[in-house]
Amino acid sequence: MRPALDPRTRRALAIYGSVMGLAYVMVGLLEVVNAFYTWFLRPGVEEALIALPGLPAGDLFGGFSSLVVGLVLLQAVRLWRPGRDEDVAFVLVGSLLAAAFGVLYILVFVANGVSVLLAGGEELAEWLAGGWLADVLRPEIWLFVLVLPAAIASWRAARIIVGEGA
Amino acid sequence: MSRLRAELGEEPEAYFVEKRYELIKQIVSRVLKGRRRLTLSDLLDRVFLHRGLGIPIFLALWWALFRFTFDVSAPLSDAIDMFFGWLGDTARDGIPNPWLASFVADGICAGFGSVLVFIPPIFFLFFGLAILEDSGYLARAAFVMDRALYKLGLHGRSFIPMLLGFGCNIPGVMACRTIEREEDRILTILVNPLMSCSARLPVYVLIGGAVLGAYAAAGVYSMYILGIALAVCMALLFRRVIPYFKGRRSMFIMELPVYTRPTLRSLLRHMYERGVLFLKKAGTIIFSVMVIVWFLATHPWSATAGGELVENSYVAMLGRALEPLVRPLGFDWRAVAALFFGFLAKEIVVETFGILLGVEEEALTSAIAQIFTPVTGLAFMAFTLIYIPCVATIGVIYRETNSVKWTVFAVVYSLLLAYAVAFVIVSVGHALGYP
Repeated sequence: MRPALDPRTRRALAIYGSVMGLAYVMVGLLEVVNAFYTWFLRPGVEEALIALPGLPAGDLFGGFSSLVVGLVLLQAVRLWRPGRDEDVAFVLVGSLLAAAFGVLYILVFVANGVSVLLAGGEELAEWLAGGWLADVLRPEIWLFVLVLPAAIASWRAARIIVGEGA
Repeated sequence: MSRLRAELGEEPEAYFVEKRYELIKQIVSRVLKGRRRLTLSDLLDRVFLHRGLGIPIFLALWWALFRFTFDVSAPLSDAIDMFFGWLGDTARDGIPNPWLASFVADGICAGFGSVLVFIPPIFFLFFGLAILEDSGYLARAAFVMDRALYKLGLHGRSFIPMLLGFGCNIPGVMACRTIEREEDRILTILVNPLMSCSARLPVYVLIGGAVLGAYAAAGVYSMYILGIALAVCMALLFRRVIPYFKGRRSMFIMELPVYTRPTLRSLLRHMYERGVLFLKKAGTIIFSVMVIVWFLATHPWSATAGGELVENSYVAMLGRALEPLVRPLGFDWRAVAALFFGFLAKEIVVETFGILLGVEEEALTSAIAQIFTPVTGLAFMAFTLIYIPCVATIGVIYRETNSVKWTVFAVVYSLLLAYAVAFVIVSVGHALGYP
């Protein structure tokens, strides 16, 4: 017999993973719609169609990536039914992908800060006046923070399934 | 061998591997009782090798790699840029002889500096690739892509040479030796130069940064995707059109390594080993060509008024002679001269712009923005991606195919394809309302 997850953990992961997946899918869709608008419908226009704080105007591939993270996390719904413990892998990999993008956007924020610091002058003043807020409010950074509990729980669950955890 | 193939109805290698694994399975089921214990690799593979999600995950991770390469390395590039700008100014002010001052400031500092600013993105790219490789993911990516590649006319083993092509096309072409069937091998060699090697990255970064603004990273990423898409399309086309490539493809068999946590030391070592090749190239080939380009861009010395009027130089004469050919693409004589020298090594495209535009490092981006629009800039990036592999790659293609015919074919088809793709980009861009 393979070690099994207790039903409460399994269901909690199913709900949490699906909710986070849904959030990523929504963010991804908004980013894709914005990018489609600024790339193809109104080329040259820099204002986003859906103007929300931190939501980029033209990051098509970033939106696609969030959609992918969301779709992976949404597979957590399979855990609701018993006997599908191995599907905890979707929560684990979804969290890993969310972490990769969360850390990436934090690094981009830091790099932008250093770049404007080196440039100085108007660029620095503009960034300090509010440019930094757009970087730091990027939804994937905050979703990554919210996904962390799922990452830890799915890692523990995975260790139980492979027989390494308690 | 062909009789054996006919009797088995498939490739003998694939047949024997399949039988070997069947036997292993039978022995294991007799010896071990109960279900096999799962490993962490098994769990992760459920997702990374998923039929529907495997390829989207690969594309998302690839995008993350390019954001990391392009955006996170930017401050380091800025610092190098500022340093060479300062060095050029100091040389110009400090050297009394105008010819020597021009050689040091516009030749060495401007040319060398415009290439060296791309060390950070190149090292970051190799660091990111090392994470994917050392963790065991890259082998999964090959596996996931094999299904798609096989359907699209390429051999499954083509993925590794093509992946190597992202670093440099030379090892990419050489790695095609692992493909046994000659037709599959030559087909992969022909499309390998369409994989965007690290030498093209400086061109994308410069042009993308100059004309695409906030969409620069997306523009760079698009070039990599375009390269993959074109490689697949050309493979499919060649297989359908050229009788030599018709026939059954051999099997792709590989064992997947277990996932491991990469160590910082090994990541840094991989990054250094691959990145240092760019440094060596910058110090040898690029430096020599840079001196030639500087000479051609500042002479005749009297006609160019001591290198000030580059439009009277030998390079301008060459560029203007070739300009009518690329005018439908929106390129001017400076762009065509840069592409001409880029045949020797693609990085030289950037360095040639540095010398031809006669501006300091920090002003190069804004000077480039004066000669390209977003659409023609994107077309130029695509042209650089596709046209003629660099001279070293051509040499390796000849050595690996042992055929002048296939070598000439690789050069001619890539040149025609580059022109066609750039023309389509410009036409579609204008039709969509972009300037």
